Amino acid sequence: MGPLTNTASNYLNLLNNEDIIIACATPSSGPMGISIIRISGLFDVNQFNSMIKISGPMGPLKPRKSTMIHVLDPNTSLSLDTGLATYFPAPNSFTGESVMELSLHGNPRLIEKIIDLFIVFYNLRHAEPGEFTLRAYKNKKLNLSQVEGLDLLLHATTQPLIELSQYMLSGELQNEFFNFKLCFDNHQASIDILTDFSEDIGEETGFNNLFKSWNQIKEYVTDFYNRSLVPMDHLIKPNIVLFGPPNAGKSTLFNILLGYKRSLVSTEAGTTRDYIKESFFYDHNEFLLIDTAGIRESDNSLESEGIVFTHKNLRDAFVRVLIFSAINFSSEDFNNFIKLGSPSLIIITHVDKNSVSPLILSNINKLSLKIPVIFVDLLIDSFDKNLFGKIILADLISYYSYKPIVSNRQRIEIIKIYKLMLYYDSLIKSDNGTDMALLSNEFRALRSSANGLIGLVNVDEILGHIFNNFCIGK
Amino acid sequence: MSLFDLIILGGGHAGIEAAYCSSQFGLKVAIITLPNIGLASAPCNPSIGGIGKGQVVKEIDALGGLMGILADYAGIQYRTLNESKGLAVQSTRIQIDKELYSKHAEEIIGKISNITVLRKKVMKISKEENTFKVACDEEKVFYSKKLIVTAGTFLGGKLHCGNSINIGGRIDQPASDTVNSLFDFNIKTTKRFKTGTPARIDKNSINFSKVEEQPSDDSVRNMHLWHNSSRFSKQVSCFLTRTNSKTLELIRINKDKSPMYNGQITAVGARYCPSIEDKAYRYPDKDIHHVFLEPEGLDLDSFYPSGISTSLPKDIQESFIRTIDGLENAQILKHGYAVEYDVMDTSHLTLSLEHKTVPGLYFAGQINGTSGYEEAAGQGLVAGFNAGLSLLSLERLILNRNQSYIGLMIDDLVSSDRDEPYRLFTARSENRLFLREDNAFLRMYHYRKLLNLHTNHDFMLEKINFEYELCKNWLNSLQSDGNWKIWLNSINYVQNDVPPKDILKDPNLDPRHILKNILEFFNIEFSSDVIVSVAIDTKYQGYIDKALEQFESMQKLENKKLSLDKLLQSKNVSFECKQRIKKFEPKTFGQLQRLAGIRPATLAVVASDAL
Repeated sequence: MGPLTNTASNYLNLLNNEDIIIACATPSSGPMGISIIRISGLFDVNQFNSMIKISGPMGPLKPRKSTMIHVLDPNTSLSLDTGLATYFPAPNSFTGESVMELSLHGNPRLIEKIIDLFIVFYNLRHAEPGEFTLRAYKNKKLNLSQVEGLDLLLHATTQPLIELSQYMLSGELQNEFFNFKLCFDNHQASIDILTDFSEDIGEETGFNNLFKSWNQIKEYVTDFYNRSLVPMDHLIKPNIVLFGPPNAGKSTLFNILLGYKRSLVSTEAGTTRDYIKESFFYDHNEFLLIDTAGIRESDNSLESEGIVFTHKNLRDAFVRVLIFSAINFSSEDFNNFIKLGSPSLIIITHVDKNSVSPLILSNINKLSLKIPVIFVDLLIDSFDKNLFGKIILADLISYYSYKPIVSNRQRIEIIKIYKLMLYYDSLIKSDNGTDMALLSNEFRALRSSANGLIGLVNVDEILGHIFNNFCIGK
Repeated sequence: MSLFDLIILGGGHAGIEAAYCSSQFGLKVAIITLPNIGLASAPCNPSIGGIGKGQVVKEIDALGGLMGILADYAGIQYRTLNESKGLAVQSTRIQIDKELYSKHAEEIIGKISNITVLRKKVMKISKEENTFKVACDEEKVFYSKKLIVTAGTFLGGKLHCGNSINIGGRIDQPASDTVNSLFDFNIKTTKRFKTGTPARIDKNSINFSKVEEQPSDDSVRNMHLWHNSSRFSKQVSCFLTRTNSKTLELIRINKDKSPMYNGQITAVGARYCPSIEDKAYRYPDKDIHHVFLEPEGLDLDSFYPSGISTSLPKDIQESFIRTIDGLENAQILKHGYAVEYDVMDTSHLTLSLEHKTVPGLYFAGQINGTSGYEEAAGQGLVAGFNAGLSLLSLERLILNRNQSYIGLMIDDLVSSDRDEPYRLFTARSENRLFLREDNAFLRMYHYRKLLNLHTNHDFMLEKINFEYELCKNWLNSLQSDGNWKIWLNSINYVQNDVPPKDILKDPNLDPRHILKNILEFFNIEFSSDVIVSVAIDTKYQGYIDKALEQFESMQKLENKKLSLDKLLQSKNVSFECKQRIKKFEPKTFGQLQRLAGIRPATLAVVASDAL
């Protein structure tokens, strides 16, 4: 965490802050075609006249229209750069305040200088990480789960995750939560009616309503809970672990998948003692590919340590790929490895595709779960990278079919609600008559957790947690 | 010149309670009430108590009020409601003989030497410096230092039965002037509410073989703390029958003749006390509604059919009633009607029910927009005691909403403007595990002590609270030693090491019986009232503490200030929500949350903004 990390209380202070803020909204680590400077606050666009000159006879900046401008050094009135300015008057902007975006040439030093001139000359302030989004949230341009969706959108590495973040950003997830909240209102009403008006409606109707409205809540909670169970690390940064016995060709495959020689390859077993990870790209998705030490009994302490890492990587893996050699194929070893790693994909190396040995085929057919198998010939050069990618992606997509809940905050709230739900369910089904006042008290606890889920709480505690993750300029 | 310390306008349930309470300070009190109506008459349902309301009666009783005593004297059928729904929300309801009730009220009030009952019609109320001048008919004028208005439905009263409209406060009673013409000073805005009552049926025309009998329950405790379990009157039964599709069809096809639905009545009625028309039109799929047949008195032929209040024309009332099982030949003694009346805007009152801009003027009862005798009496008590305390320059009596239903009601009344009649029920309380009937003597004890009265009631109240402490301390000090194990064995309890306090929390056991059993075993005697409340308090203690803790943390959000301008300008607040916000101008998040019809989305927006 760098010096710019903010605590929750800093974000609370920022919420009440009305400075005009400025930052570069595009990466500025090296030369880029275009860099965008973003300014937000309650300002009048004409106040920047000493630094922004419209080029040509086009009149003042028109709202939401890009206009060609010169950025001037206010001290010398000399042009520093030429670019486009777009002005979004409040409240129709990302932050809900007035926003100006300057698209300039992407030289990091030039952009730094222009930002500094704005800060000094107009008394602007450099934005904190996530501060533009914080202002959008404050001005109700985004709700909490939309902010979380935005965070995810910026960091997602795979297409299914990007799709999911758009679902959150559009507010659809928040709508689900609101509908969920309505069920709580219904159930509370059924408790109160049964307690206070059962003479009017009759006990039977009262109890029917009670159970009906409770079952509705249970359905929602169970659904949310199942959607929260997906291991999150897998979804945010899916990692593919290659494992198997030594000398099966893991590192060779690793290099082929990467497209360059990253792992040392030798014919000597146990060459890879540490593990190596690199990004693997397929169809605009980024995975983390991990090459591990081959698993065997070893006297070498370095190699043994590598094998410990392998086991840890296996536990944390999203997709486990077993690499197994057809040479000296042992059914016992093969089945042990299947048990050890429960792979989603098996690659048999050193095999002549046209004549796979019956022993290997029968072992594969005996597997209780159907696992895709790729056969690779002696040279491994013919390995089909696309087929590999397709299988991995299909696995990833299957996780998204039921819209997992990936925000950590939401998952924590949902697990809390789920536990309270189980307890409440035991109360409501009690055989010894129903203690309505007690029921109502416990329901209140459940209800306040549900309020937490949709952000209907004091947000003090969660502000820092959410906005810290953002980069500067967003 | 007749100068009183306090004049109370109205001799209903609020009025007599105000007089009875304030008279305890030895003040000179007058009740001015219309001729021809007995004190504490019951123009609607002939019963006292009910869910939430039973708690109010016991609070009134513990505070030294009159209602519990009268209910016992006139009680002809007793029931405990919600018996199967846990110990916290059970309530007593007593059917009363309304003639007896009024007769006893007259007797008790008549015997109090510092209360004068004046049977007059009030014409004008004015204020001369710090004295109120009450001008009555026959050119009588009375003066008082404080004035409590408990005019019920009489101010600007207008009766509806079909298309006939009469001016009146009740079916056989004239109305008083409207609020605004009665006072010659400005008491600020008033509004109009509506309520209704069903037809009364001749008991000789009811076929009792076709209805379910509900006899009186002898085991139900009397309302008054110092009454033993014996009854003061003969006990009778109530009866249950139901409406059916024919009944509802008749009501539905005559919708245009219902004053409430054809525009004749514009005032608002209580959602929680719906007329049969409300039920018919609001729930078009539901034809079966309960109808309770309740006797109005031992010597009266009339039965009150609870659940079918109506303002339909007389002939339609007759025909729909005759579709109901057991009422096929029903003879109607009096027809149902709706009444529209002026009510005070209670946001102009303080927590002692005193008017904010007219000091010394108090309002209590139905004129404050509440429904129910118990609600009225609770307010009468608060206004009566506070007018007295104010005359004696003593600290006001303010009941906390977490400790009493009366306090809860008054807090609700003065903290927001209501757009429908207010009725108490347990769901309004954040603390219903604690606001019970059985511990009213405990909850009200310190309030009664604040009044610094030294009556027999105060002595008895101190005694029972002392016993409560004693019993609780004894239970807390009880060790799980050999004797305890012997007792556990004697009831064949499975877990032989459960500590004494925890066994009362066992959901499978009735803590009242267990504690009684334990005390008997250890040969210790306490009154059953003490045993019951110690047992139930012990059972719920953990939950009550937790609930109050939650309540405190919710208060943080609850008390958040709102910016109305921001709310009304926000794009994220729906149009309907804005309409309601504009009308009620909520000042805190809590008030906004309690407004009906505010969407969760709006609350979320506000919660996250209100930092």
